[in-house]
Amino acid sequence: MIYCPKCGTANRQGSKFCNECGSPLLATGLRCPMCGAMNPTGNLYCDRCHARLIPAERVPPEEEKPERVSPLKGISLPSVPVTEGGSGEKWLSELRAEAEEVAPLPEGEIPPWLAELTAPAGPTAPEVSPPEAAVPEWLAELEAPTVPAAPEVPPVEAAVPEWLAELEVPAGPAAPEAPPPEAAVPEWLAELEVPAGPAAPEAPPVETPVPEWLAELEVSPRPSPEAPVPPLAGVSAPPSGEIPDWLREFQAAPLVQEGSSAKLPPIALVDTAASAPAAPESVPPVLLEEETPIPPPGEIPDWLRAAAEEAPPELGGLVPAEIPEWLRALQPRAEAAVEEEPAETEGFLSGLRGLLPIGRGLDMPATAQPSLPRAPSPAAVARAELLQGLLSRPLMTSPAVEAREAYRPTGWALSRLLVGVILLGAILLPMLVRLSLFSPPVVPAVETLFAVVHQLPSGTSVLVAWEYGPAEADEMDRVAGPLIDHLLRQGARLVVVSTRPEGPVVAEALLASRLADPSERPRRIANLGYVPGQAAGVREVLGNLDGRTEVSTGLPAAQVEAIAGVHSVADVGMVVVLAAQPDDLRVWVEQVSAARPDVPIVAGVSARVELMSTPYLTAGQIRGIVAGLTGGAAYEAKLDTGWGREYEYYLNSLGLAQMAVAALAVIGALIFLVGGRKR
Amino acid sequence: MDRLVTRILPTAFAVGTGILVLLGYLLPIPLLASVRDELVRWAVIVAAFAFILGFFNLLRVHSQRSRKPGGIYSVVLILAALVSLALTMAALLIPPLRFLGDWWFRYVLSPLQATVAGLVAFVLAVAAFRLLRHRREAGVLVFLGTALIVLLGTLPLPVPGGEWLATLRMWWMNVPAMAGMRGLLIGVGLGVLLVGLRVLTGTDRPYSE
Repeated sequence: MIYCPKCGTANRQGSKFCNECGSPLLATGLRCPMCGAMNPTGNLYCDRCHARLIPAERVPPEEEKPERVSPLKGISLPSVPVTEGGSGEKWLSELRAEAEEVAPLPEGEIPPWLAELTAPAGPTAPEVSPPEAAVPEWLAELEAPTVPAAPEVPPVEAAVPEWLAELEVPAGPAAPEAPPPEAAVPEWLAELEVPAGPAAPEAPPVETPVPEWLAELEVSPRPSPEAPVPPLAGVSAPPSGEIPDWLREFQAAPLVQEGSSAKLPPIALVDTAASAPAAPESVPPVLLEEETPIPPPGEIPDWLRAAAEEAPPELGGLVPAEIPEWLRALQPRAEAAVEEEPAETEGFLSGLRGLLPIGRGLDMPATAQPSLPRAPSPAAVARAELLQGLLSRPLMTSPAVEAREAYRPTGWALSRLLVGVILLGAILLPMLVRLSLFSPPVVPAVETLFAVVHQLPSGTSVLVAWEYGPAEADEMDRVAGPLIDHLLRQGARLVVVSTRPEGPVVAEALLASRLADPSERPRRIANLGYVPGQAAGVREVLGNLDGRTEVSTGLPAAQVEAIAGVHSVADVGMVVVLAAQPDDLRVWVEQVSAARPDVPIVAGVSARVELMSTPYLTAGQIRGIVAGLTGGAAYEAKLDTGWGREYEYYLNSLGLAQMAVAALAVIGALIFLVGGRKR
Repeated sequence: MDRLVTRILPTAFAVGTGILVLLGYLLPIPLLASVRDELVRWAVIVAAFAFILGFFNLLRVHSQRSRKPGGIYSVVLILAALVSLALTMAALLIPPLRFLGDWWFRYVLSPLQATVAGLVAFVLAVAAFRLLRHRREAGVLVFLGTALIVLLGTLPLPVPGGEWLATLRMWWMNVPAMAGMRGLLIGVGLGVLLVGLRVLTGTDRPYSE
């Protein structure tokens, strides 16, 4: 069966709409949020993927569920179906349904439910059930109040809640002869009236005929849903002024149970007032039957006085401000007491609770257990001593290394000594004895270069790239010297630049020695100094020759006569590159050829750059070249002055040294070929 | 932000500058040519500043080495560098003191550099003597034969067969050596072109992290 969530009507299984009110039924199934499969109503987990279908509710454990207790007979539960959510709806509905089925008992007969309540409560609440009877006396007396019932007179429905009217009905027949109008309040009731707490000591029950809490009961014609209810003893009480939800359900529901005859004094609700007198207690008013006039405010009703007179001084073990177990069992658990589990914060399961509960202990911070330092074990001490001993030992060499070291002082040092002596002899011998072993060679590239320089008109500006330093000066000065001499003799004006920091200084030393008349220096030579930046510097200086400073005079280049009219490489008649490194020659050839392909380039290079310069020479990018000491000697010999003593010495020394090196290479090859290879 | 400063901005600046300079060479537009020349001028200034930084870096490195074993050489280097700097600065700023700079260059720096360069000849001679001590391969023998031809063919030997050696050396230099050197130059040219393209496209970023 499927019960309609709106009207509570039972419908057949599989119905989609309620037969009574037409509301859609939820029995059509629940769609799984994970796999989308439809599941029958009531499933907590999906049949296909076992995902949770009802995520947000926490099902209380079995021991926390309210014990099913038979409803109080005669209490009319709300007939209007509960529409608001909450776990208490179901048990209220069931309670109401069962209450409706209970017919009012005849007057003076103990209802079976009361016997059930009192009988099993023996061990836990012995003070509730009197020993002499199944029904406690106080309850029996309350069931026979003196308020006369008047069934023929309809109750004031506007003022009396239905459930309270039902409580009053059973006492109807016995009521007429009972109530003495001026009955005194019994002691137990007086105790209830007297506030037990210190918060209301100024309200003595003696001075006021009717206690405040009772006056409020009588004055208020209709219970307000928001009216505060005194907290039950032994139960966590809501804040002052609030009514628990389970009680609010009773009050909010309109009670329409006409004809109900059950009538009970509101002792179950009122007797707890003494336990919390500080709060302004307010309970639904207890209204009597219609023939009993509603007493004015401040006046005790007759039925209550009669009950007070006939009430026994003792309530059979019932202690004021104490709720019996059977009544306490009716109270549902407070929802607020349910501890909420952490909810998912991200993903499609965001907002769902209880999906992946954190393992106990995982959310606890790890704490380091302090421990006292322990003494090292003997084995650890032994290992440490062994390591220390190894580290303190002197370094040991292998036998192979020792053998090699033993070989070096003899063979290695001897060979080096032999080579050194031979080279020194080859160099010093021409210095000590004038030798004429070598004559000036004839080099075709030098012949071409000489012809190009010789054809230069007088006064032609020549850009000289001075790209060598002191380390190469002994060789390069013999290469550059004859060429510079020839240029100066041809009347050329030299503009010197260098991409090496030491280049201008080396150039200055050579130029000063080659210029016969130092007074001609400003008209013949302009040393523009160092140009940083390698290729970028060459490119920049080729387009801005007169924008620099002359090194020897410190004047701007534009004010030096030697560079007059020369603004860029286009204004020079030749470029001479004096390079001791291969990259320097390459950079200058590339930049000059790119800037002004029509400007002839000649080069004076060291012997080791000769091989690299040959491709430029054969390609025509370099008109002529003088390479090494041999090329310098050849160029020197082409000049009018002929080659002098200086070139004779250098050429003979160089020739002897080269022959010595060749001899050493051959001797060494023979020695090691005959003696075997060493490893 | 750190990535922007260390990688993106240097790359963008290098690529943009390279493209501007390249367009200045390729397109006959005066504006591009002037921009190109200005950028080249900036490069020269930056290179000069880098040279100064290199000098101070040399001092820093050798000041750290001076505290280690054998640091006496670093101390000597630092002192020599500072003396050279002081004398050169004095020679440039104070004309009467120029002779100090010339003296230091001519009688200290030049002999020292020539001595170090002369040691190369001695080392090469020792290596020639021990050439076959460890290796006896065909390549080593070819290398030895080439060295002998070049050494002896360079000189106008006053002995019979000297001219023949000179002719052989000339052939060796003009044919096999020329072929090898052209191959090297072509490889260098292609390498420079490739490096330029890689820098222009941002593939190589030697200027950034």
